[in-house]
Amino acid sequence: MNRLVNAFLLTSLIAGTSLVIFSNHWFPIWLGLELSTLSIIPLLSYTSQSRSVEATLKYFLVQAFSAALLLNGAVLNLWISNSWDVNSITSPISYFIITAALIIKLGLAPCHFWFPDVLSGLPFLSTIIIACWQKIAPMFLLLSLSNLVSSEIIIVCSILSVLVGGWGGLNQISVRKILAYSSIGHLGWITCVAFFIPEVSYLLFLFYILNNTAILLICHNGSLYYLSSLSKSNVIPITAILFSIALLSLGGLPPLGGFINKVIPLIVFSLNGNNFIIPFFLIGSLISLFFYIRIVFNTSLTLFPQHSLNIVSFRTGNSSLSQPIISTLIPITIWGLLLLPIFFLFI
Amino acid sequence: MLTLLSVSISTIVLINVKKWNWNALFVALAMMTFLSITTVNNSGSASWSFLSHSLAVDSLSAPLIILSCWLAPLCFLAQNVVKGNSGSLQNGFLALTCSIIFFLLLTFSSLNILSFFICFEATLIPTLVLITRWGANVERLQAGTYFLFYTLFGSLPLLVSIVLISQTTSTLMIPISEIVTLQGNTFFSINIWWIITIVAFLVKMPVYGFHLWLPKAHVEAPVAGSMILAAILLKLGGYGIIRMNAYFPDVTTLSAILTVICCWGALITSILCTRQTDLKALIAYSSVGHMSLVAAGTIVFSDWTISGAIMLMIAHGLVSSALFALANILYERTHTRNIFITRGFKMITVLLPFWWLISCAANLGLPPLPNLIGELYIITGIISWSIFLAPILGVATVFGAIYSLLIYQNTNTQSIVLSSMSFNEISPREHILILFHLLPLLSIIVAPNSCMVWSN
Repeated sequence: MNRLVNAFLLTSLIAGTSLVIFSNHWFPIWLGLELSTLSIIPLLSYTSQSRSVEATLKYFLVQAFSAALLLNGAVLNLWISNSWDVNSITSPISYFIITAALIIKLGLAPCHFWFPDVLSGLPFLSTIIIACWQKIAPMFLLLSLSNLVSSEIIIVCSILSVLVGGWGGLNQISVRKILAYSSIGHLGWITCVAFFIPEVSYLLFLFYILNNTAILLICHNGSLYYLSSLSKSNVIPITAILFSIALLSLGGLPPLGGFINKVIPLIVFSLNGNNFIIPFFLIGSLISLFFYIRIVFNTSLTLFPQHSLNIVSFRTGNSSLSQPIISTLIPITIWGLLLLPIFFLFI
Repeated sequence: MLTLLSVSISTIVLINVKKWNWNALFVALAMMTFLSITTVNNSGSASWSFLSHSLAVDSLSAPLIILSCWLAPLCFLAQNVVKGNSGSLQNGFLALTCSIIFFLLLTFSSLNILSFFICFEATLIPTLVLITRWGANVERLQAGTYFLFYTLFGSLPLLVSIVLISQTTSTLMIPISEIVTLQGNTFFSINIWWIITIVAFLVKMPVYGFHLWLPKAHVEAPVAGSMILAAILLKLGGYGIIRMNAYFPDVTTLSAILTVICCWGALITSILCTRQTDLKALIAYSSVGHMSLVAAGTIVFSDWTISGAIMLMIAHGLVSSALFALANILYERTHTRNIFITRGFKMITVLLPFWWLISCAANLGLPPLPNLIGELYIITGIISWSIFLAPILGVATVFGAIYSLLIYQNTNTQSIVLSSMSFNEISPREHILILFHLLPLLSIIVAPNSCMVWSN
């Protein structure tokens, strides 16, 4: 696309998300959500592949519906509590409608069905926007709302998300669908902490976004769209190892950084005496670890027999802009465990 | 202690030495072994030495630290076939082994239970990569998956238990674990708490019900992976049980059930060993049997059984590793592990039957080798706890003798298969490898107090 148009759309995307984060009035929040949705529609659909256009349309329908639901809840709250202020959610019905809208936007179970479908139609750079950036605004709203009214619907949806994220990703061969289900599972872990200490959720969300962006950028570099292309990829060899490390970090294996995403929720759950929900999360994380291991095996731990014509040199065809970004994000996965004491500021 | 850790982490730099990286790493790790022997505590009482803020060594950790440092150069001696790979693959192998040793040192010397857990899990990833990347058959992927998931299935509840301990006692220090008392709330009684703490170590050891990953992992792993796995990684389980048992002094019913399960497991695996066809699987099952005995000893938790458990852990580590190295010596030449084919090598190898004899004799528990001392202490302790386990343990010992002698007789004194008559000579590297496995056994005979002191 024209460079100026691209810059304009990206700027309005950032403006939309910032509008959501910085407002106190429900109307600019709805406006920001719609603005971010509308501004990526041209970004996603300016392509010759009809699958991307289909994914864009599905994405637009889901987001528009949930934004309308959000506005409905905000107007209902206006009627009940006589205020447009974000901090004035007191009645359960308006809270429930707004939370339902945010759950649809985030892709938590049981409203997750659009997410793997949309994600598997888009190229990887657009996937980063949908899976990482677009979740910032609804997550921010969810976390600031759970400061006011704590309702168990978040716990139910997060347990369902963790289990769906685990079982859904088992039978997939498309890397984008696998990462979509892993995203659903991780958002389950993050939103359950929101019921207890929302500030900690910000930290976990940040870790998850950085890890996910690194993995998606490496996949974009090597065009790793399917499991079969994992072993034939022409990435720089150290990137294959770092890709495996980033995936294992996403799976939550110590001593990698993703372990924080597992140990901090466990500490928060047991701090509040809520030990009953822990086994569901452990089951979900173990199942999702299985398909991470499957990707790691296919990438760097097995050598499939290859004809010499297939071995493409890694010195050609690598997008040179994403390499420094990958190199900046990967240390989080290796040294991230040293950031564990930051959590103790929030208790 | 900090010296030891910094030396071990800086040995990774030596993988960049141009032509002599294996030798340089061998020398560096040998120096580290000499450093680690200073940690041994001969004063006859369990006390913490080398204290720092979060690392310390006591009479339980010291022999295990020495064992881990001792086995690192031996792994480099054993894994010769990797030298045929490209340079970066060799460096990868060396770096993985060094990182396993580093995390093992951290595990055995950590004073904080959470850091013990993190380093306990941190040894999983390099071992997984060793099994799946440098293994030989196509089943290694399933073996790696079994290994990872069995261990994680046990250790995620352990993480929950550690978090709960930190909530109720607001401390995670090991030296004061005897004076804190844990009160379970109504739903989450002390028994369930003990179970979820112990399961991780039972899977790691492994005891009979959770042992399925071990034969798969051993058969598919390269020899260095097998050696490290058999020698040290199994001992992490025993170390963990001994450490965590201090929090649960009055779990009697469940520990009784578990002791009986472990003793029966030792018996069953000993009987299973006589029917194995794969040499490495045979040694793996014998590992399961010995470690089930250690587990029974640590769960009973009396003075004698703990001392016997520590002694048997060290002795079993050395002997099992020696047996895997011996099996690999034959495997490199005949490329089979089938016991119907790898037999009768007394005719062609000269000194090797002697090493086989000593290793199999140590495996079955021949005095004065320390395996016997460990087994004797454990069996005495368990029998004094309950007389009804005496026939089970007795028959388990007898079957242990049967399969150990079967290993020796099959590989050495049977009639040789004619196709394996063309045989490279046993190089001095391999002789040194086995010799250095068996020499520390002699030194332990002379100074048994170094591996046996534990009084809480």
